[in-house]
Amino acid sequence: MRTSPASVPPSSQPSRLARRLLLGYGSMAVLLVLLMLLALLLGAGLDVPASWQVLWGGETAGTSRSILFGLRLPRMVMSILVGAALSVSGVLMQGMFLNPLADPHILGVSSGAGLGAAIAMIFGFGSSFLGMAPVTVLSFLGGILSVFLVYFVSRRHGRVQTVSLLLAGVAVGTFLSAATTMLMRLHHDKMEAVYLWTMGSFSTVGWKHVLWCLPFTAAGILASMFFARDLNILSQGEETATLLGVPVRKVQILLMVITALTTSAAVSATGIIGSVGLMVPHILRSVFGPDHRHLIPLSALGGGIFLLIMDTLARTVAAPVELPVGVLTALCGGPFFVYILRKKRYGG
Amino acid sequence: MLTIQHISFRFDGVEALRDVSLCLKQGEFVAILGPNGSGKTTLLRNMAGVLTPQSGQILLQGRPISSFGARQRARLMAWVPQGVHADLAFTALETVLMGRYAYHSRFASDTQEDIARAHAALQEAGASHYAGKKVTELSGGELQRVLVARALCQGSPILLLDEPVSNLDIRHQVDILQVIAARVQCQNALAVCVLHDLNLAAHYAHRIILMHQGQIVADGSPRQVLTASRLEAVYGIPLHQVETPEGPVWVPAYDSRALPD
Repeated sequence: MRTSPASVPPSSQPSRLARRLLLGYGSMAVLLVLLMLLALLLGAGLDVPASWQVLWGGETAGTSRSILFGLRLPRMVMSILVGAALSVSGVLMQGMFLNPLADPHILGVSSGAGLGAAIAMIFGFGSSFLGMAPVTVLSFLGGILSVFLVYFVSRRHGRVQTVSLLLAGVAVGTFLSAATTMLMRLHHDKMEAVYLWTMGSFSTVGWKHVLWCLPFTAAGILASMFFARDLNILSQGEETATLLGVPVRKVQILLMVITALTTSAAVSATGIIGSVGLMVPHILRSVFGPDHRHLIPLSALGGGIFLLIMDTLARTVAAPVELPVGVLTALCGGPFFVYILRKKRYGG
Repeated sequence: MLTIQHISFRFDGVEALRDVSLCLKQGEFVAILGPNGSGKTTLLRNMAGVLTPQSGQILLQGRPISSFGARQRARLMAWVPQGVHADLAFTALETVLMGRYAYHSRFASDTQEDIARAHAALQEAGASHYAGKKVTELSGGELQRVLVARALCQGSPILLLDEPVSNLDIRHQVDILQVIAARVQCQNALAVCVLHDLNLAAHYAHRIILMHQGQIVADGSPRQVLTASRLEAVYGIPLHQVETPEGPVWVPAYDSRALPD
């Protein structure tokens, strides 16, 4: 056997990556804190100096405090939570299906949640569950049910092929969206409400939404960290991963449950916010490499930062008119997508 | 160590394997030969347990292979996949470390011992000088050696290789097979290797299994299995045996396939 001299010391590469990772975590954490401060200071109803005073304890007037701590703070926390949930779900989906274009919506989460929300609004269920509005509860259930529907539709002879799963996702998604459109057409009066919901917004978010979303997001991100190594190995193909010792089906089903729960919880509280799960992981993967042990926590940070920026823009750019945040993220997502397609070879 | 008892396998009703039986032992370098579509890869994937035969059974250390968990099986059996391409930019070292998955609990990270083993495997496969390079930047031959190194790093007594040299130039073909032969000899491993090249198989394998239309038509030493009449019957082309300093080699009768005018 020919042996070659070890010209590159094997340790030089990992340490350079370690420095880059440390810098990444650090700068993103600092950026997040600064943006949080900015998001609290900016906005309608209370100008920046007044907000500053409330924040540092000088001002104690009830309305100012409630604007800051009852409206802006929960909204800020919620946008970070939802951004983290959506981008981590994107990482999991892309890793699990070896498909750079996969994101939670591809399994029908958003169309299922949309149909659930439409049903709740149109038929006006009055009662609530755990203090949550029927719209939230039904869209949460719709999101989860659609994932399971997609899973069982694509199951043949006890096996699920990845391609048939993705195709089933598209088919079920199209069907559920059509059902939503038909309901909207038949009930003109609720059309605008349903339509606005599907565009996604944080404008009605309060602490109860944070409490609803937090357990799902936190548990989802923590649980997905346990599968980081499995996701790394899944990149080698399902068969090879199986033969390296990964229980591939079990891992895929568990990750699907995790993404279904976290995404549905996020979407049910805020409506459909697209592109986050696609853009954030791609950017981070190109900077920090494909190791999911770092990609998952970095995506949680990056997704939180991205959606916090988007929501702060959504409520300040055209104030007093508020833009739907889902529209803003999609406006960023479209061009970004084209950029990715042109810059990188497919799958690269 | 690996026993195949009367297995038959059908893909959507099309028969790919018909009543195949084999008994494979440690210390053997086994080459599976046969024309395209003869069932070589299907047989290998059945041996690995990623396909389940419709009838018959496969025993690994006397136990049905389906009774092993993925992790348990990976400690006994390592796999080198067919075709080489890399999607994600892991380094060669990270890729080789994936071979240690079966030995980790879910929460542990790579130990010093894992890293030492990975470097040793890279060295063994002649790939240590690009340990820190991204696999997406490697050539086909370099990547193939990384994948062989990963299988070596897995430390399993059985190696299953699906056409590990078909994309490589002649020097890298020899290198890879040399590495596998060394592993068989030094650690009493069992290597089962699907090959296309009769001459490489004849040189490196102790035992050749010749397949045709889903069945084993011959099983034995290279000298026993590779005969002119049998090869012509299986491949549908006459072959000449030529003596060289490296032993006999097989050359097709090129003119017999001349295109009609």
